[in-house]
Amino acid sequence: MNELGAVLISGLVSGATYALLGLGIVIIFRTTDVVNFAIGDFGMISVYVAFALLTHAGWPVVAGVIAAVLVSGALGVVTERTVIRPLGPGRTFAALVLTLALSLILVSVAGMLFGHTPQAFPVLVPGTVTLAGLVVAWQKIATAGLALVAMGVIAFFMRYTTLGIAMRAAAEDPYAAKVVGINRSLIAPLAWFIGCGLAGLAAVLLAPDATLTVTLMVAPLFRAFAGVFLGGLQSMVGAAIGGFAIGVLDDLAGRYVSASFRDTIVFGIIVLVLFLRPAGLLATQRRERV
Amino acid sequence: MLQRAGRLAGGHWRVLVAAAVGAATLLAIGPLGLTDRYQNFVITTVAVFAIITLSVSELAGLSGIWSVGHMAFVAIGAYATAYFSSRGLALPLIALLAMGAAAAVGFGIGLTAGRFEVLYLAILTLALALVGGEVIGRWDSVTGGDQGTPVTPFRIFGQLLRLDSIATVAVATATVVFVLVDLAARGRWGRRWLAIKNQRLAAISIGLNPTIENATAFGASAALAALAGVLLALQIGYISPDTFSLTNAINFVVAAVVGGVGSIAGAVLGTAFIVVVPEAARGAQDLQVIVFGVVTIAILLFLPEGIAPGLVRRAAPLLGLRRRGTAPRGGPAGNGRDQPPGDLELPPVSRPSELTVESVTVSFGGLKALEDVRLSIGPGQVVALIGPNGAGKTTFLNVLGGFVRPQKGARARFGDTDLLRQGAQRRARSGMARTFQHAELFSELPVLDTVVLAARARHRGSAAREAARTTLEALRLTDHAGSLPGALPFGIQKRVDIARALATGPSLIVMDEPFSGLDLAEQQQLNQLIRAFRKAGVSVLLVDHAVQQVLSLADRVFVLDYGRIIAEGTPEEIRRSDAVKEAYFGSVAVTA
Repeated sequence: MNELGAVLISGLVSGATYALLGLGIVIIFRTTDVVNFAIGDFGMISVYVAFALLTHAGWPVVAGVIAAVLVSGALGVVTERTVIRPLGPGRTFAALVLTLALSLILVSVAGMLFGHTPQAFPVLVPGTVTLAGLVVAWQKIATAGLALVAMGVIAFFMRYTTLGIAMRAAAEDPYAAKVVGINRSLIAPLAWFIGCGLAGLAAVLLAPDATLTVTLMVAPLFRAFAGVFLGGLQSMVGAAIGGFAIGVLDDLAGRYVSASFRDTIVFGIIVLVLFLRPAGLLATQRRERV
Repeated sequence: MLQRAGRLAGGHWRVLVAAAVGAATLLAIGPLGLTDRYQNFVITTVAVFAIITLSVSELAGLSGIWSVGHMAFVAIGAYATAYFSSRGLALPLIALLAMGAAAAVGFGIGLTAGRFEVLYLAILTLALALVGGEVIGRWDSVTGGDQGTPVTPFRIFGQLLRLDSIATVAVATATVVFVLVDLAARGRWGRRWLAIKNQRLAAISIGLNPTIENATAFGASAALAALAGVLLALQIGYISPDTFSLTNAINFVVAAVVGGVGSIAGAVLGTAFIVVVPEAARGAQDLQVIVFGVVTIAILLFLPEGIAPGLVRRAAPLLGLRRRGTAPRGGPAGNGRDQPPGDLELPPVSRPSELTVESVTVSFGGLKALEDVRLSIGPGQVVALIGPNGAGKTTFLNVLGGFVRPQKGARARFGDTDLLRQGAQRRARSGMARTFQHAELFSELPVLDTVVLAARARHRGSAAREAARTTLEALRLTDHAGSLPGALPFGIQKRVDIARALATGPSLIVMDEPFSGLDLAEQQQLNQLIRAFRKAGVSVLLVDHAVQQVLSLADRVFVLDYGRIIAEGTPEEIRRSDAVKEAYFGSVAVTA
């Protein structure tokens, strides 16, 4: 029982970071129709920046985390401005290949700048606490807490602020949004900033548990994508729930079924779900108008 | 579309060029001995990888399916070669086995393609790649796990196969594959796949089965990838899992996009790109990847159609080439009026049939879109179904077409077939055809090809082509036979849509808003056309809100409102009906 509890907790905690990444992917996709494969690597670069600030410049942890979010978000805005917008609308697949190429570039640039030796990223909050007989690291609690706070902020922003509502409107119906005066050339960079900023947060939360390398975000990104497809590419709530579900499934499969067939099991479940609900679990079914 | 137009511009010359390039390469590496060992190795790599790129690119170009998982099929070919080479099987037999296995797996995945949007299917194939990777890692007895497994060298005519002769085999195989794929892509298979990719519903309406066609395309593409895997095994001699990494898999997608999707020359250029760029910057690992990434992005931004079509587009004006299917200078080719269909004579229909529909109820969630709808059309009758927006007309069309299943108790007989027991694509063969409000033509197929494809619902071989020509002649469309739909004015497009329906040899044509978007002269022509249908014994169901037009044509009229038939009768009776005035104008006080 204790072991199951520990597995569930660690699954939920890694799931929280997948949920953040997935949320970032969905926010960018909904607003600009781009599946951003480089999103994890924006996070990776920003973690290296945070690492330098924490270890060499001696910044406090909180400042490091904020810096990671801002750097990653800024990279997103620059990308949207310099390569995504010039690509033009309606080129979904070309955009995907473009972000794949961008991901290759970022990993190699990071390799040249920061080297290929793994680094130990400092724990954000040290120590452990015993909860109902389970020893849990504060780091895990902080990770889950920060992720949940971030998701809450996003939910509030999208639901109650004018800008957030404008973003959702632009995603639902770009033409109608234009008619009522929503400026898409502002909405797109904003979506990239928020989406990539979330990836920065996810990366800085993941880094202490892993070692810091240029491939830090490869595996989490795949799991985040798995979660997104589970929940549906259009649904923010779906992406978040999907992320948590994948985190738990992945750890359960790794612990109780087979450590070497983790990907097969996780993707097997997704394929099964997609067969039952081809647009994802939480996607609203498109209905033909009569 | 430009790119497809570019493909059509060629006739057989592309096959000749492919054969010539292949032959020249063979001469260079063989008898002439112009290349050294390293160059032979690079040439072999390009030849083998080009087959993989081609399999990915043509699948995307013809069927709209993007596969990230093709490395799994390459792996099937490579590991089958390694495994059976040590057991003394002949190379051609191994190749056939591997291709068969890959085709079977590919066919299975292709069956599901219709259920998913492009991105979801890409993820499904990505899952295939991941699963493939894990299977390779664990199935030690065959794959050698992480260690890999050696390929026992083959003998051909008693000679041990060396790198130079492997280069010859690879280039020769690639040449044959390219020629065959090009022929298939522009032949019947390619046309069917393009039709389904362009307009799924319209393709079904002329009797194509998207599920089977997608599966066949995927299976064929997988078999090619497996063939490349066999060659790859010969070339590298030792198979290890990292050959089939996800990065390599993605590289082929990059090659397909960068070269130009669905382009034969693009597959070679794209492959050369992913092989040569990294080779050129060997030694500087990170720098090499950065160069590769930057060039990829630059091509995506500045040559949006890919290298090969992009270069053709830029070079074409210089060489004085004009692509088929593009409009001549000075606007679109004619307008809807240039050649009125005049007094149209249609051959009488061989088997006039009656359509009877009863008790059709459809509900979406709590909303009843159709309730207890009945309708009947006698042989050679023109019947109209009218009703305001939201009345349920589209739903009714979808029930007839087989895309929406009505609730239990519904009956629909057409001649001697029970429609409700028949799949959507079989209905075309029982003699029911359909036209579309927005024409829904296959954007990458010229008019003649479209109509030939439709005629195959009824005719085989050259008879289909003959029937198509007759249909085009009858509808005065012969001048547009070579045009792509995008180059035609809307009125002509709608006439091509009718030609497509007519070519299937129907005894009933269901027309969805045939009058919408037509000017007065075109509406007159359509009137004549529908009268000609009636004379030939073809029944017509008009679904429209152009009430005046429809009332002047129809023998019988059904009025649908809020999902129910509220009136039925002759046009005269309908004109006088209070219920109809109420439905259309909200009050009987207003006169129609």
